Amino acid sequence: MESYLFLIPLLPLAAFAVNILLGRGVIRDKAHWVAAPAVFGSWLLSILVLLDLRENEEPLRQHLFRWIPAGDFHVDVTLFADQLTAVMLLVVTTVGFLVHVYSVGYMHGDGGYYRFFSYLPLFVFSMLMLVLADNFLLLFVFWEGVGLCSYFLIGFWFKRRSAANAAKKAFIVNRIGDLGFGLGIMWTFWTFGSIAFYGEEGVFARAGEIGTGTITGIALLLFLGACGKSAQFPLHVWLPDAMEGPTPVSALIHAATMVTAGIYLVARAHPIFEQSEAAMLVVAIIGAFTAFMAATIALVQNDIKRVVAYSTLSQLGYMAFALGTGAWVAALFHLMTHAFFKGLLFLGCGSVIHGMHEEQDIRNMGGLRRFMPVTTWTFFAASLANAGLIPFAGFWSKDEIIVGGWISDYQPIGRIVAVVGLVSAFLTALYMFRLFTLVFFTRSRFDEAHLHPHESPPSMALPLLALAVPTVLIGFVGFPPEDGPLHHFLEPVFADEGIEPEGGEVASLVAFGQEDGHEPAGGDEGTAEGGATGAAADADHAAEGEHHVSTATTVTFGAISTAAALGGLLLGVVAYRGAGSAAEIVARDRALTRGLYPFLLNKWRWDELYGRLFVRPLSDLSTFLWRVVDIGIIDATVNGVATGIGAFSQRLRHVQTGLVTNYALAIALGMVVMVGVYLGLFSNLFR
Amino acid sequence: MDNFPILSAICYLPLLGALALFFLPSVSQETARRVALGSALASFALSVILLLRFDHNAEFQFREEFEWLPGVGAGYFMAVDGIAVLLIALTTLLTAIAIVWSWDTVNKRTREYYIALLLLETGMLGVFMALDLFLFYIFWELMLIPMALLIGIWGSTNRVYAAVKFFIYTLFGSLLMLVAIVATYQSYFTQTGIRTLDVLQLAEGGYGRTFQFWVFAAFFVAFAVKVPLFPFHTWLPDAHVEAPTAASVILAAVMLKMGGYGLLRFNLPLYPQAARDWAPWIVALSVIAILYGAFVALVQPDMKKLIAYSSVSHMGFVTLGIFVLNLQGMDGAMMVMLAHGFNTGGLFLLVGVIYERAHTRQIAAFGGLATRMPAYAAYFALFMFASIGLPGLSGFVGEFLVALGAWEYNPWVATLTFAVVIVAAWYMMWMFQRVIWGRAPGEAPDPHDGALTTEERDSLHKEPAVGHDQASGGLGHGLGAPLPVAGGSQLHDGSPSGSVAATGAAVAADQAVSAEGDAAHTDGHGGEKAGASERWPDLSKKEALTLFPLAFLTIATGVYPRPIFDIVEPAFERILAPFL
Repeated sequence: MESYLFLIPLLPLAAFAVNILLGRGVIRDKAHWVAAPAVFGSWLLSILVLLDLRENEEPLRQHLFRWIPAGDFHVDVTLFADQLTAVMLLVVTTVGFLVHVYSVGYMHGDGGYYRFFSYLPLFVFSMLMLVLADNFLLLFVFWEGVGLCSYFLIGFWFKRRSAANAAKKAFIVNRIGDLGFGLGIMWTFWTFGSIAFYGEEGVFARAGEIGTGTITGIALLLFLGACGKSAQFPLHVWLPDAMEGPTPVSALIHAATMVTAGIYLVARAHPIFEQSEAAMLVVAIIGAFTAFMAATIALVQNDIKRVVAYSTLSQLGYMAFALGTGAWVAALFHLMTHAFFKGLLFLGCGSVIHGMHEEQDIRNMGGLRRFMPVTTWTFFAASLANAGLIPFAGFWSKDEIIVGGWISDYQPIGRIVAVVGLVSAFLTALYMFRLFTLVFFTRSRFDEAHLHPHESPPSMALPLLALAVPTVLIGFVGFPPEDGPLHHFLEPVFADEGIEPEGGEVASLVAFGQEDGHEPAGGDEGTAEGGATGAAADADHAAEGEHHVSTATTVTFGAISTAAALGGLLLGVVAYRGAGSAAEIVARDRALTRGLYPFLLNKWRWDELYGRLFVRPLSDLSTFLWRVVDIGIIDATVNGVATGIGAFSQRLRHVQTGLVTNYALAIALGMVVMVGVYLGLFSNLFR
Repeated sequence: MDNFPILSAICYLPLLGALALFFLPSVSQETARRVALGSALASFALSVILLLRFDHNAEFQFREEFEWLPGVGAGYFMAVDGIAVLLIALTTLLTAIAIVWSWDTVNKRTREYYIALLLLETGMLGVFMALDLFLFYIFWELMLIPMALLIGIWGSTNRVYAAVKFFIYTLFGSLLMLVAIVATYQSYFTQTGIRTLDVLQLAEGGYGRTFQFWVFAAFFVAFAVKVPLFPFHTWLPDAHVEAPTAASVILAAVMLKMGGYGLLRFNLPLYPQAARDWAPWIVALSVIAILYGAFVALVQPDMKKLIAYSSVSHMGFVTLGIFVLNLQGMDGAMMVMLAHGFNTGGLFLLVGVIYERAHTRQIAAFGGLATRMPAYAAYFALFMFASIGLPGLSGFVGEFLVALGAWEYNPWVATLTFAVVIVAAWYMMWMFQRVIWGRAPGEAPDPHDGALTTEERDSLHKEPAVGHDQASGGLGHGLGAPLPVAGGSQLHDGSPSGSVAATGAAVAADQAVSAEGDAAHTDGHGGEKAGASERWPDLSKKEALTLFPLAFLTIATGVYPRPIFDIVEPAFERILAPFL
């Protein structure tokens, strides 16, 4: 297998090359016949890799060539596949292939069909290389590579100014993260003398030998990169706008795979992060905050894709705080389940949008279950999974994250984020079922005489069904919790234990439980569930002392999070049941969110803040530098010197009168002066 | 073969072509072009051979040494190391490209134009080959004049101002350099009693710290003007904007490199102590240049000016990489020089392409070129991403290595430097969005555009061809659909509604757009902006021929830059030896 590793990324790359070169002239609307089989081939090979790694735990490695040899700094293009990679490969190729199939229907007839089926395999290639990279810089290369594909796919309908703006915004915000990532790589190199992950020169094995300050700095810089790519606060603003891209793109890139690259990076670099408690805390707090903030925003959005986009942000926040609490496997578990159910959700959105003839506003939908049953029920499964209802995939992974936070070594932050996680779980169920109710149930709020929604063609419906299977079942690879096949499979990667756990803070425990009880300020149902949560937290008190998760803790948290999810679900259904008009929906949103409605609708106003804080001042600064410094000072000085000399010469010119008598006078006077000077200086006549 | 004076051959073949043209005053334009291209290609071919036969070590190779003015100590001494070899190949390639580019676009005083271009090439090549300061100075001044003429005669409206500015600026630096050369010569003579202008020999001399400090400064100003380093850069935007495309390309791709080359060849080996003393100041100026150039580029309304300021930013990486005085920095500086040659050269050619069609370079005048000129858009995207340092293309390797080297010097310098990747993406993408993406002037807006102005929304509602109901009846528009309608059907690109009609219209749109659909869009729309009704053919064969080599090189050196490192690294190790 080892010597065929290169084929996994090569197949999609070849598909890209063929389609971009021949697509416009020759292949045209057959482009998917090039792209989809290539990705399918990668999928098959990924399964072989997975099987191979399950059998022999040794990672696979294939050296291709030396990329940069600059003195001591050398970067090799080497593919590396361990268990972590294998999971990512499988996720990327599975969702990737299904999205390819789906796009055959969705993009049918688009003027840029061949372009679409060029960028898509290029993305798959970049993403596969990203997870196969064996050193930081190679990872960075494809980190930017997926950003490039994202840019072109968000801006796919480039005639729309909004799409072009979104593409640019996504790239630039990501570049802020990349700045951090790049600097982190430089610091790593000058600290370790290498940027390879493992092997003789590997940095991970030596992470413990470095001072805390340096390792914290490196970890935080890497995490800044992760924040960009995985859309964590404060760099989250690009992801919702990225919904300008075609919906299959949103499913593949902006939900299932690319945005999880940041999570992957932190998980890959976990030996570095484990060395710095400060960095871990930052990751956990940022993650929890993002999870909560995005969930609140999702409550009131009206664009079907934006609701799901904010949900993605929120779920990525879960993954980040799992990383920050050291629950590495839980983070990856959630990454995997999320990839399937969120991919399904987005494809479902696409099916709705397609069936509704390009309508995206949920206020103009309603009652679609009558028109599109497959979409409805697959969407339902995905909604349950996203809301975290047992036994759907999202339940297992989300629950493990919350438990992981609660029992983590990093206290009291672990507890706090666990509680925030529970609150967000409640909100998640609420917004998911607000969405589900408003789209598929309630009365239709569009003109049925003119608009005829229809179920999607098989090429789109089949991937929905295919993704519904893992959405329902994949959670069981993590069953029993903390001890499932996935945990055992990933053990070789995360086996090395980091920091010794410190005794957890027990004192504030009850307080946290109560805080949780009061948090869901979203209506009666929530408060009722919250009470149960507080009680259950008490029960967990007993199980606390030990590091390993006791069955009691697991079961308790399972019950609490199920309760929270159910509460949110019911509230969502009840609150929006029978909403008959757009105005009514807004009224119910307002009733639910009270005074916060405008704040949430405007997405906490980050865009405005950044505009005022950075974009505007920097543009003004640029104008200032150009108009004042460049033209006004530097160039004016240069031209000033020139005109000065010119003016001086102009005056000097008048000496040349052309009158011989003037010249004769000048000569005579000059003689007198020169003789005088000579006599004065060199002779002793006057001495 | 081993005694064949290959350097002189490369250097004087263009001169030969120029002389031939000079003594044949009545040649036709076509012959003039052929003679020019022939001599440039011959020179290029030889430089490829030079590159292949170059031994990967630190020695100066292909030496040609003759006595010339023994009384003064000036000799005819040409030889190359890894740095020079690469820049020579870059020069010959870009001159050949410039000549191909000029084939159809220059019709005024064609013979004189090519004479100037060829003289310029000889001057540039000589600069990279000469190891005798006297010889070097001659070539240095030689290339100045034809370039000033190219700008002043074949440039656009404000050409004379730009040419004079370019000339005076550079001459100012050159004269300081002349003083420095004489001073060094004199000092060496006092020390050893030997009169020589041989750089390698002069580098053996021991110069006092204060002497070094000032002489270094004089050399430095000459090269800083050329680079151009902030605050000596203001000639560049004017020169670029006014120069004809081919001259812009050569100016950006080759002439700016002479600054970096001169610093590596003369400043560091001759005055190492001063290099250390000056390094903090030069590093500071470089960082300022990097950020300043990028920010100023952000607000440029003229495409050429935007690229000119981005050059200031990129070239800041070169001086920074050199003066952090480590191997990564220098390797990076070299990569930036080459990458900047490919990418900025490519971008100037691309601006030239649309200037030929629209006779304007204002960003605001364009829009939606991606649909009219897809191949053009693809090249544009490639050079844009190469320029903003996308890994896998040439720009990244150099800029990352410079920042890496700068980190060792001082992490904050690296942070400020690398931060430019954000601004670079910003200015480039903003231009890309306005020129390549978006709608062509007069094209109907897409109703799914979330950022339409109220005005555009209103115009949409008046447009009968858009809207869902129309889609089902869209079959009637058929293949001959006028572009506004086809543009309207573009909104169904995203709606795979399965409706045959929409499909047909969309396919028609694609065809109309990619091929000869221009006839279509002259029809209908009354309110088109000027220029929209002109013909916009995609890249011609010649245009593609000029762009392709640069595109190939920018990808090749981005993916596999190793051969370049193998060639230059020994030279850098030699240069850095006194500093370690």
